Amino acid sequence: MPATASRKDFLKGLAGLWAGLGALAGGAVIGWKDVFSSRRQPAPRRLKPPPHSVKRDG
Amino acid sequence: MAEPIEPDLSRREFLGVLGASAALAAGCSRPDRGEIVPFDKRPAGARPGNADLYASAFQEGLSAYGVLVKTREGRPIHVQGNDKHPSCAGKTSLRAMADIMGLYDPGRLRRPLVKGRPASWDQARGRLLSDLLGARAERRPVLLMTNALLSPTRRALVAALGKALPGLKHAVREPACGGAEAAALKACYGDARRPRLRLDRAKVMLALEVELLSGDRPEEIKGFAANRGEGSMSRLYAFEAGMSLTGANADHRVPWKPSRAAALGFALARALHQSGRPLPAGVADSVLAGFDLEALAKEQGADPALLRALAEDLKRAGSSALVVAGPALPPQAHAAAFLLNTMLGAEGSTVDASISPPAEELAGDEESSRFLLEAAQGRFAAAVFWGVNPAYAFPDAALWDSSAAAIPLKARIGRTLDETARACDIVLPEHHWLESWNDFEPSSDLLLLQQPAVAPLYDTRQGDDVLLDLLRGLGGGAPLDYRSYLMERWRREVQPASSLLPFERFWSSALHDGALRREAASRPPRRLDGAAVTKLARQTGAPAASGFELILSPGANVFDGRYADNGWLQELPDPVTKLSWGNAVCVSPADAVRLGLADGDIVELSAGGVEVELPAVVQPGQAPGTLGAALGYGRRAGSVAAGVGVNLFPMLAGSGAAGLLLPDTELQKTGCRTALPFIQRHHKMEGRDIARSITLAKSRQPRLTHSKDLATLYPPRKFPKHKWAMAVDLSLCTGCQACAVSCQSENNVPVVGAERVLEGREMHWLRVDRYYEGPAENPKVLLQPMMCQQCDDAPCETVCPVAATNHSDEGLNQMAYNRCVGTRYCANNCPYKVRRFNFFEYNAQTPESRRLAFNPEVTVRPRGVMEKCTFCVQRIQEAKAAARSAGRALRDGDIEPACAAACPAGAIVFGDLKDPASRVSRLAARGRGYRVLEELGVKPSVTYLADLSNPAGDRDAS
Repeated sequence: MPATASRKDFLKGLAGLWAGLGALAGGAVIGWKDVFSSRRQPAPRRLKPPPHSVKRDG
Repeated sequence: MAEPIEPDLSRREFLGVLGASAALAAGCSRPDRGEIVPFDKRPAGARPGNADLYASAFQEGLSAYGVLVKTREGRPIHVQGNDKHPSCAGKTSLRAMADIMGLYDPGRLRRPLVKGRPASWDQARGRLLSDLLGARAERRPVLLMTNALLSPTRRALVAALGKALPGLKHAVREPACGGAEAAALKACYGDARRPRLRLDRAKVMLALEVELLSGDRPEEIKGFAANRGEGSMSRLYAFEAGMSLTGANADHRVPWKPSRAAALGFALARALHQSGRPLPAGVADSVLAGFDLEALAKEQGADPALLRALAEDLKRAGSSALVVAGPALPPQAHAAAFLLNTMLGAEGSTVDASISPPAEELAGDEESSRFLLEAAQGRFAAAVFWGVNPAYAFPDAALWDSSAAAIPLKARIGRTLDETARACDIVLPEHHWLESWNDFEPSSDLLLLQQPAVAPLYDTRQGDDVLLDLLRGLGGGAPLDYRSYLMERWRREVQPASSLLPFERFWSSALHDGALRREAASRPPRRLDGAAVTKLARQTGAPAASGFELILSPGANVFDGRYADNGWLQELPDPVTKLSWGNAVCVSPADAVRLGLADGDIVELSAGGVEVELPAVVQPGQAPGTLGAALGYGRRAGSVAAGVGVNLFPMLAGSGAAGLLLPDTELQKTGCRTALPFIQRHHKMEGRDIARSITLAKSRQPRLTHSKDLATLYPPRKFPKHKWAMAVDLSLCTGCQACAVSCQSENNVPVVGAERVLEGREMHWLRVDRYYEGPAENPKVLLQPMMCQQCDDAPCETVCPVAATNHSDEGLNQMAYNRCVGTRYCANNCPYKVRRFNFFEYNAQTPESRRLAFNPEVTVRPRGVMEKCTFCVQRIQEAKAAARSAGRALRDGDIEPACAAACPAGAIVFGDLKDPASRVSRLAARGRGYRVLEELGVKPSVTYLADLSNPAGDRDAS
């Protein structure tokens, strides 16, 4: 049945696409792992002004 | 015939599925890490886009400096001197500027470690405190080893801890400072207070093996520069083994063996005495009989007439003379300097001990060895190492290992997992000084306040807070945090009783200024102990050893190794050898010929049974029979420092030498070679007048060095409003390189590493060139800061195929980075070699935390782009905006590029040539003003003022 076969092919293609997406997602996870690994330390996110210090007014 | 396929998926459905899949794929991909977060809850007082300044203070070794910390959106990005620090007046040490890198060091510890595993503060503190309580119960001693404290409040805290823990033994170590000067001061004056050297009052100076003009001595440079112009000109004599910046700036430099420096001092004292200067009470004139200038001159190959002229100059200068002996010299040489200063009346004039704070009791190698020997015998129940790094810098590594093994509990308070931290059971991560509170007392009439410029980045604590916590745990009553402890002490002891201000306002005002002037308690003038001088003079004799005399000195940039993990300071070259990324032993040209040595040959040094291999550098001006090398390299820990250079601290073990002089060192060629990353690879001007020097007498001839304006085919440029220009006075510049560090910090200049330096790919926008003239045995040295000359007829502009570099209507040679395609024609056509090509993504390779130090006003350049000095165009624009906001015209001095702001000598002046009254216009018109390679007709905007020298016998000289 050509029509059914066509749907099958399409689903196969879609499965391939999903596999590709899975690989991409895996890569992203590895990338994040890399970010959080000790080899590449993230920068401190929040820098706050010192609470009790006095600024110079110019 | 086949049936036509009935598509059961319409085109619309297919596109829908495809779109959903694409959206899903996009959703699963790695998101952009750059975040734009609205500043919806703005901290009080924060002004986005505007810099905030905090006054603070920086301490290293035995010195403390006031600083101003510039922050942007909460990030400290630049450090400069504090204008309220009276003697430094807006200038500071180059390491204070560079140590902003330490704040963002990716290797900083972020939480405590117990036995190498992450732990909470409670766990770490509990473990340490229980051992200290146990030690107190068992009456066993505990060792506390620190760097010099310099802070009266910190001293009070350590004293309070000593009371709560009676067995506490405190050892203060500054491994690169040497102990000979302190020993001599104690012997000759009964007090080791170091006097303040008033170079601003000195007309004739004699420097014996001492570096007075390096980037960590802003006060001395400022004082020296005060008397190096046509109006007032001092004369500097330097007698030294290796070439220092002091020697490079001297009017007379004499290569001299350090072991004979004391003899020279006593011979001069004898000559002065013979010409009528009385000897201080207790100094027997017979003891000087054995010291003769003529004989010494002959022995050292010096000109006897010069030594006589020196004696005459010193006598004539009297109380305006100054004699200084260096830290590597033995106590005898210091005693000779004290004697000369006393005979000349310099005591109280150029040597001012009246406001010196109490001296730190430094534990030298001998005393530290005693402590560690006791530790090795199991005497100490615990040890706390705060700041010091004995696992790296203690000379006797075997003794350190055995003592470390025998101490039951070792705690480390420090910023990184360095050599000592690795040997400790508990590691307590410490704040950076930009996150800390403290006070320092550089002189008894001045207190500097250190305050945080940023809240702590990580889960760290200030070392003082750790001690305070232990003090509370040991039952000593103490406030909850060190800031309160500091404030309490200031309320009690610092605020004058007569002050009408409420304490909070007094405190706030002191924090605002960062410095507090106060009345110093008057102290009677110190009196030289003649008997002690006589005793030391008797011990002065010719050395019996036949080997080389090796002088070890703190690294010009990395100091005793504590800054070795700083890429800026590693890449900044030694100011004289111009070697970056490592150390080498300096050998005289005569010895190099005799031993067949060339730059990069690996040699083996041995002294007292310790052998070390390192590369050699043939150093013009090095005294034959002497060697010189820098400490602070060869670290085993640190992402930047590890493996760079050679650790020379072990050379000090078992040598029996006082201080940093090893009088009997053997040198052998190994036959191996290495490539050395020199920043400057050619040392002569090849007959061209690039860096000019004239004598004071010649400077009085009008417009001596200006050349004629050349004919040009280019139409004259018009500058309707401003014509920015710079003047650099080579007579004031000492070559300290503070300008280079400041430029690197201000302009996001990347670090490239030793391998790239070897390929000539360093990125410094501003460098200090050093040229030799004359014989290699003792050449004249010329130092010249070199940055983009902002030429009016710039050869770089005409060759750029994409017009990425062009000329502004204010005289700036500007770069459009995103237009640059990296042909490098401009660099090829620049006669000054000041354009730098970004061969790799240097800034992208910068660790994330270090990127927080970037100045947001300056573009971070990508790979493939040419970059160069902009005259700090961002500061020009900022000053213009400020003037516009204030509704006034720009004034001379409103704009200060980073290099000019950092220069302790005030040698760099920036301004508008369109304003004939501006300082830069007046300097550009001076008789000794000239432009480098002006014969090329490129019309540079930087005027150099020829270096002035004031040799003895110069006609008309003062």
